[in-house]
Amino acid sequence: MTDNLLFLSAPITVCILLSGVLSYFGNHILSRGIIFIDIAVAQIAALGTMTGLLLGYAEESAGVQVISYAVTIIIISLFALTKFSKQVIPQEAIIGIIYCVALALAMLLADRIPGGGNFISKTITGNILWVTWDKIFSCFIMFLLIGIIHLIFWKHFILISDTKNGLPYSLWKTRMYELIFYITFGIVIVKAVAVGGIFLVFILLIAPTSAATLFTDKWKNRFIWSWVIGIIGSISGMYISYVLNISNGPAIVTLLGTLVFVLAFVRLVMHKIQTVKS
Amino acid sequence: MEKYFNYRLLNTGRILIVALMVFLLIPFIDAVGQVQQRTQARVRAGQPGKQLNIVCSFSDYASITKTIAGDMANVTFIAQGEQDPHFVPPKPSYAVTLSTADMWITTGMDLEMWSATLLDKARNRKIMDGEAGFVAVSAGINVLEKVNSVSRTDGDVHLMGNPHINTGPLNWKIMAQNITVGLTRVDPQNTSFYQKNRDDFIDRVDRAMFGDKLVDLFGGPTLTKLLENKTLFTFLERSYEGGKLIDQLGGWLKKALPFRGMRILTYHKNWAYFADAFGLEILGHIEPKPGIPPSARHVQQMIGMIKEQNIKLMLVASYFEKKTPQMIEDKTGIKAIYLPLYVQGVPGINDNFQLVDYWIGQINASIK
Amino acid sequence: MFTAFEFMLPPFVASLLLLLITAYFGIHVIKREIIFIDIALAQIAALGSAVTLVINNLGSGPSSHAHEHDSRTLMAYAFCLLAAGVFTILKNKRIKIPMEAIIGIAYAVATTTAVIILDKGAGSDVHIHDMLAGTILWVTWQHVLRLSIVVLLIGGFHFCLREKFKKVTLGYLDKNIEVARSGLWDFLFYFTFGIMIVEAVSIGGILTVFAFLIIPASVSALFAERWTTRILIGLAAGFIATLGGLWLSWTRDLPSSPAIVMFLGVCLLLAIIIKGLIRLKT
Repeated sequence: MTDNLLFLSAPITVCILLSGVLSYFGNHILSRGIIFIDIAVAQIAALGTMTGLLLGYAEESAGVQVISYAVTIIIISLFALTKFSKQVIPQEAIIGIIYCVALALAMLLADRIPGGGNFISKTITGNILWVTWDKIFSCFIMFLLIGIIHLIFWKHFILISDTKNGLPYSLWKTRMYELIFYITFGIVIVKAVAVGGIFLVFILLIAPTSAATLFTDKWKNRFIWSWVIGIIGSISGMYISYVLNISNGPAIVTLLGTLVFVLAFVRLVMHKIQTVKS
Repeated sequence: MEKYFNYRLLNTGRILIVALMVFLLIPFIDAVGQVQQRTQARVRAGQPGKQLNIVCSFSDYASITKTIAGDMANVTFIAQGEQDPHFVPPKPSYAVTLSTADMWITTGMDLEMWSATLLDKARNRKIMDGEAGFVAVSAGINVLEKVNSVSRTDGDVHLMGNPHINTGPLNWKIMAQNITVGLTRVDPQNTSFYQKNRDDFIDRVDRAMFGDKLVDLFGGPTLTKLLENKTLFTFLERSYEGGKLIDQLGGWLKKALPFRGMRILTYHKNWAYFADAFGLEILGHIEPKPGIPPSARHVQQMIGMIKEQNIKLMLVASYFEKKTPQMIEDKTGIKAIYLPLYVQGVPGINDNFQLVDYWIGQINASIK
Repeated sequence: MFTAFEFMLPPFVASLLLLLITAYFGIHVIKREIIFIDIALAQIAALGSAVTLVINNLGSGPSSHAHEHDSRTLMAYAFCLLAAGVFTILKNKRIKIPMEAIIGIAYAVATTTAVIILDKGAGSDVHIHDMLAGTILWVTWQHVLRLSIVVLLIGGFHFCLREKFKKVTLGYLDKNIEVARSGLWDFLFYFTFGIMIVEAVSIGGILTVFAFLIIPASVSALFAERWTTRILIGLAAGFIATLGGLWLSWTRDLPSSPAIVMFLGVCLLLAIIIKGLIRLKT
């Protein structure tokens, strides 16, 4: 028993770290309604990696990582600057377009690189089971730094994410905050996907906060609930994957996702019961 | 009617960004295209004149075919040496070359799933399954990991067995045999030419495996049988001219002696035939099913086994992403060796012999 | 020997058929802001397919290839039906989760469930067949015929009932627009959309269908308001892009889906530039 716990201690720590940071960002993403942005960011980062490989850097070198981050930051900055007070093409559509063009480019380049097929969306897998403690430590530092930035600006970010109220500042001031938000977001996603894979990151971003939104409206409560749900959900998913001997990423994703649907139906039933009572 | 862009904010800055993106895209597409053309030229280097048009699925088969057919054929292949053999993206040239092919040489064990629709499009009667121009190189090969019972819920076994037959040099001889049969069907006039080349090739494989001395003494077929029955090394313990027979061993088997009997892991099941031939014991696979990450229990078992059995090496085909193998290295101290699975997977490796030389060389270098 | 024309004609016609239906659906998708619905539905259909595969394996041995293909398609439709039902039920004022999030979660769950099922239920010779690239280059006239029937049926259905569907979609944006029995129309929308996706993706692959849905409709959004005009503009943009993409694919020997998508991207950029220039002039 202790053997297993020891083995699982590293992956569980990763889950807690990832849940923490992703649930936070997830609340913003949900309010903005740009759900698939992380898949787009992951694909762009993969494209960046492929560019690095094409330019001749070895796969495990720092050069490739730097190029990957650079490409991601550039594209996401351009995206941040496309915010208007009135969108003809909604931001999610812009994300969709960026995603599919990036994917197309990646497919064209995949031929030129050994193992090129590994950099195309669905195959961007990760496995937190193999993670080592120094990797966890570097993640922690990075998230801490970004967390500090967000602690400083948290009010601004909430204001610009709350799309119901329109633009809170002038267009360019809003865009500046958007820029900081998206760049920090992009960096987090690239790091998280490298460790956990695209689907784990996606579900940790969206599911806990969706579940929380069902029952509360206030930002502060949403943050707390999504943290709780995210952490408990991912640890339970890991336990289930162990007991049933199934792939662990998919186990967590399926658990959290199904949870959201179940809670949604519960909510509807609750409402029906309430209306019947009154 | 102010539903569109807020015109007042439209400025040259935004147009510049957009124009920049357009201009960046165009050379990209062009660059990709250029490299494609160069590849095509490299692949089609044959000689003019009335030749057979032979298309193979993999570069390994193409290399063997070229050796046997010589100048009688223009041989091309579809899956690039560094590509994942299970997933080959569709390009127009594939269907075009297939449409004019006289022969199609494929594994024949459901490895090339991507070829079915390709062949449909090419609509070339001559090369359909069952016709004269179709060659399945795996016919008659001693297939590993075949499942006998009907129950497949066990999950871990290919129905038809392990299809990565190119990694075992002994298999090349049977492949050469099948290819020659195909060639003589399609071009009976040159039968003796093909058969001579095939025999030369088979002899070359034997000598590369066992070394000249043993082949001269006992002949290739006998030695092959001994190796397949796993009795070769017992046999070589016999005395001969003051020493033992094993002193006369040469070729790859000799070069592979340092790692004979070693226990290793492989990332995926690509290496079964190589391990079988050269005495490596594969204790497990990290990702037996491509695309499906392993479960926690499997990972724990792997880590435990690596420690208990003191496993030092993991063979990884070079088309896999290095990220996970590196994580495994960090976590367990095992060493990962990345090997190209096919001919031309790495520049400079132009035929099967160089490929095996490379593999053996790399493994020996890693265990020092 | 193939001429470029012979080779490219079936894929070209197939692409046009796809564009016809996606230029229309794309407008709905953008207005409702459910951009990634096609990827989600394609994955849910694939889940249905995987389930059939496993059931076939566990039962008697493999049946004939054609028979198996049909049962998988039927199961794919059934799963789309299920998904349509779930989406409709959850499009409720009480549920404060945006529709796109529900779709996203459905997508992730469908993908991972398929992985788990295939892992446990099928032998290891099942490799996760990626429908990303699609096989539009290898499409035969038979496929084209099947596709045209589907387009005709679904297109016809939507044409007859277009006002209702339009109204429900506008209701997504404007809370004041109320449609009687909007649940029914929502359900029909998602279900017919799902069927269309299953057919389209089996020919063109997810990437092409996704791009066909989003990009022509985005281009048309820049220039027009009326649906008919938008469909025509979308078709025109798609037509040019397909032409360019297939030409590039032939001359440079590239896979066709990414080539077409790149051209669509270029079309969109040109459209933005043109629009900008028009505005500058006025």
